[in-house]
Amino acid sequence: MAVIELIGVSKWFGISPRVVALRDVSLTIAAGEYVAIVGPSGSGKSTLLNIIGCLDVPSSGSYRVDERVVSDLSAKERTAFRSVTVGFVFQAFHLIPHLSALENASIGVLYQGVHRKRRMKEAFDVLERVGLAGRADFLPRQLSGGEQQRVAIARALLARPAVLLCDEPTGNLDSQTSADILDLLDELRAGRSMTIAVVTHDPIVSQRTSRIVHLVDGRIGGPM
Amino acid sequence: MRALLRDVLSEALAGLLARPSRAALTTTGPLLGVASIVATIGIAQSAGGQIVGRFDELVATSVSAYLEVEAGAVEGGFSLEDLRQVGLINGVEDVGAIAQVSTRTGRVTNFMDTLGVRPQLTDIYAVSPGYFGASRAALGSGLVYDEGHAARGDAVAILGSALAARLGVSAVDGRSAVFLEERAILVVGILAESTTDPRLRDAVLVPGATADRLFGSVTFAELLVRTELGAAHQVADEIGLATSPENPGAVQVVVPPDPVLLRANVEADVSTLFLVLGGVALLAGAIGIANVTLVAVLERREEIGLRRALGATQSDVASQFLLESALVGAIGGILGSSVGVVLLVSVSMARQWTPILNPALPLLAPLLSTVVGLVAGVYPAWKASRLEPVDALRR
Repeated sequence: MAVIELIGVSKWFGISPRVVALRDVSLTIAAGEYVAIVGPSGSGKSTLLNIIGCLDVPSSGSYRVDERVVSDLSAKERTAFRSVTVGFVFQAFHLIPHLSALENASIGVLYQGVHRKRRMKEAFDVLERVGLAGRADFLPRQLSGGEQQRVAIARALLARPAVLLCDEPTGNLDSQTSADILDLLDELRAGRSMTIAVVTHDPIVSQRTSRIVHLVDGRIGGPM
Repeated sequence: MRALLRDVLSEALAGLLARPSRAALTTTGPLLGVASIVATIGIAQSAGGQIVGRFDELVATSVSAYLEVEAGAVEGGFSLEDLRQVGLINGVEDVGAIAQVSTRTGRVTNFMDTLGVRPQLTDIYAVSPGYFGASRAALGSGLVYDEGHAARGDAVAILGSALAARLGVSAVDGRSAVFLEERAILVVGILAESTTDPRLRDAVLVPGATADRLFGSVTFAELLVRTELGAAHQVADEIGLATSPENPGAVQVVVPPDPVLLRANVEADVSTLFLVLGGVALLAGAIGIANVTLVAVLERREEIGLRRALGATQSDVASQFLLESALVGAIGGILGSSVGVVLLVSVSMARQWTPILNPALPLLAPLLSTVVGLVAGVYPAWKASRLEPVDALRR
């Protein structure tokens, strides 16, 4: 569980021309909240998510998690923070093609120095929870899109992150599979109190969250 | 937070095995380099070893001494007393003297050919009886003339095998004789076909005193000494003193080449050339590894980004790619070392050598190759570690 606070965060890329992705965004997400970040493409949704996930740093403004000023951390500290606190689910799944479902899931805690044996055991348990115990030895290309996303979710959950960030998690899936994945997220949220932020432009996804944040041209707009 | 080394190693191995044919091709470079280095050094060592093991005993035990008669340093050449003195040197088995006799015509005919219809031309050598033992010249027929014949200056001769054939003298039966420049000489022996000294094969050999009596004064300026095995150099040092104590430098001594030196030369010649070739192959292999690893880094941007997102530090990512390239080097080195040893054994079998190889070599070579692979991976690994996760994950 984590409280996420962005205070006057801006992000721009390049020097000239300077491309501004986020303009003075202030946003607080309470612990255990389930937030959708919506907006047209190019509105800065992914940039916002990257900053929340510590994959990127704000150009100005400050970002705090549980009172801790994360935006001031060094690259190494951010990496460690990311590893412990944040789980990622991507639209493109980003599974490593030459590793089995089980091995892919187990990477979730590889960089926390967990022994291989324990990693595999825990990864298997998580795969079981996302309903893929029977597919543990399959390579990603032998799995359907929905199954691949389940493996990716298992990988994200393995480190027991306080914050789960999903970037268009259903973008590559058909509506039935999307619904299944959303059900899974609900289920997981019920099991452990996680703060979840989902970037999406799919109303079916956003309507299932507890709050919708609209982003237009890098600014937070009012609810539609 | 760092992943455990063993875990990064297994990730690296899995990364390699994901593209087996590419990994196999990349491995070829260090494989060839290490194979040629191991084979080259092994073959050089074995070749050197064979020269020592199979050296020519006949050559290694013969010492020749020449007196510089022309320079007038010593009058009268080697005397019988000189031969006796040399024979007393420790390690000497046989000693003999030889000198070419100057003749008017060199005409020789078979004794039976009284009309002289088939005259032959020949060289005549004055040869002391001990020379046959010293040169290990065997007789095909008859006997060697002895000290008695030599002392009396008897008209006896030994024929070289080629000359005997030309004259039609096939065997010695006690009545064989030749006319040598119109003088009848009894043939006591014929040299065997296997005589190695080319001068003796086609010549008439007579004792020194006989030559003196029949053809005019002969000066022995050349000695041939047969030594015990290993005594050649020591004997050579003493011949000058034994024969010409007042002026040992007047005696020129020719000794067989020192086998140890020969070995060093062979090794130096063969090794440097092929070692350079092996080094070049290894370098080419390193460039290959660097190239392929760089391509892999570009192809696996997504994987790198993902790992970074999941908490991999820059050095985690760098170590993974470093380990992958080091593994290629190590596998290539182990295979190359094996191929090198097989090559060495094959060459040795073909040449009937005993293969000789420093046991440290096939163990150290894969290590060298691993280091080469590691170094080759430095740049790609550095590139991989610099990738920003956000950029790497963007499709």
